Amino acid sequence: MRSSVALWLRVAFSRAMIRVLATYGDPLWIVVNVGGPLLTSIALAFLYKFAGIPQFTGFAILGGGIAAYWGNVLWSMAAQLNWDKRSGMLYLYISSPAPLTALLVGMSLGGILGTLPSSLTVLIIGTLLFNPPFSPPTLALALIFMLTLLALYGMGIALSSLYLILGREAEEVNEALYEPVSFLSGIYFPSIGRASPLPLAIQAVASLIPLTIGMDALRRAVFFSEGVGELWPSLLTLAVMAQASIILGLKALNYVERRGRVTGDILVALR
Amino acid sequence: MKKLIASISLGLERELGWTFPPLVVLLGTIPATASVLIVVMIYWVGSSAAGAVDPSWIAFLVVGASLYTHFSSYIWAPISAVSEGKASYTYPLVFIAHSSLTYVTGRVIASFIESSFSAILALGLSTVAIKALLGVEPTLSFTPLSIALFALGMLVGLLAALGLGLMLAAYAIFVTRLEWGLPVYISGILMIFSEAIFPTSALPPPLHAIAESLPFTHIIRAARAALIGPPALYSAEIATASLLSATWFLAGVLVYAYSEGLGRRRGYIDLRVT
Repeated sequence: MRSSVALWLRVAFSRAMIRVLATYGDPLWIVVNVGGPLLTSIALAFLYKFAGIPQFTGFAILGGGIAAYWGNVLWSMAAQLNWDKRSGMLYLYISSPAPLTALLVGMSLGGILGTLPSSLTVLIIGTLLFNPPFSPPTLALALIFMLTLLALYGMGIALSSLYLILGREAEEVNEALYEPVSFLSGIYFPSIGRASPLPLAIQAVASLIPLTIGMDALRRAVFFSEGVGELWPSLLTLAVMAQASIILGLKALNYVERRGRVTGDILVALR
Repeated sequence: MKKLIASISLGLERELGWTFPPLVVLLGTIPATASVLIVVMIYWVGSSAAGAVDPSWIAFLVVGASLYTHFSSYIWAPISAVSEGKASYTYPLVFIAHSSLTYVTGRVIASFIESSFSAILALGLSTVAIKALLGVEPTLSFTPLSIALFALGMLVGLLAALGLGLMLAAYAIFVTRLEWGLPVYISGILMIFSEAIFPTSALPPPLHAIAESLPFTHIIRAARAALIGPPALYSAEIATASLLSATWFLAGVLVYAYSEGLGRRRGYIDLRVT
């Protein structure tokens, strides 16, 4: 029992370190990853200015910072095992004693640390360009940020088990998911609450996505100085969602792995 | 011409043939529609808070954002034709067959065809969605003439995107890793400078010149003149767009031909993308 826990921890740590070293050891990765969210948030900040409310440019900048993580979850978490399958790495994982769940949890931790420079670059450059009014960082902000990332990467683990059974469709599904989830979750504009332009029914559906609750709470903490006293329902919801998505993701992965080992189709790479 | 048709056919097989083709178009339409809706919602939230909602800008955003998603989705085709081709050893074979320019052009046209369906559907779907969500109907005119003029704008856009795409493909001949990084930047720069989601007047003055030198800015303006009006603006904008697009296309062909020759001499054609 103790040795399996130690193995699990070692695998998770090693996988996380691969991500961290790959990012921090190669600045080109940061330059490449920051382009999409940075330029999108700059364009959308100009749109807020054009709409007549320069104070809201911060919504676009904060959205860009979180979009870096959302992109990382989809492309470097959800699709990763599928790519590993196609490149032959999954053969090594399956034939080694390394648990897949440890690999994915390690990948999540590595992804969170590895995406931090891209996310910070968007926030810093965006702030320098548009000078939006940010409130000073608080405990509530730190808690929301961590819980949002936990829930987001939990979603990534759940999606990766689904993508493991897909072929080339995995990339197409990623492409198809990115923008609609960005829209519903209100990465760049409030999609739930009083300021949301969306009907209540759509707000209800959007609230099922952890990113929606996280973005709403982040905006309230960053731009409206709300603290733990006002944000506790969001914090509680995020904690439940984070736990549920991680448990669901790990269970789904275990099921797909077990079934795949029995039927032998886990290693079938469809192109 | 036979080579071009074969390349288009190969490209269509690559774009549409992996599953049920209408499903591919649907998978392209959903994110494009979501992109348009994000932009419209940002305008709506911002202008509502400022107390200055002007529904006429919604049509401006719908047309610009739809065309932007169209361009940004198919400028990837040439770089992916080269880099994927190098990874799968298709590209060296194409190169040996002396038709790599035709091959890349064919792949762009195939991607343009696929993306056109998604862009047009996204234009219609986002119009319907905006009416349902916000109760505002974008004032777009869909007459046979306006649709024909809009389609002409898309064709001129193909020429410009082909020029840009060939330059990106030339770059892909020499790089062996992270080749997708450059199109992400190009796509983001186009979003800021092509008047896709806000007028160039919102940019600081020295940046106007960049916007005016892009064919995509004039193509989007021409498309707006066709679908929103005033129609009198169309001819000047489409003429400027055609001139700039032809220049970009010529530059793309020259850069690609030079890079291909250099790649052959220095042996880059066989370098695999990692």
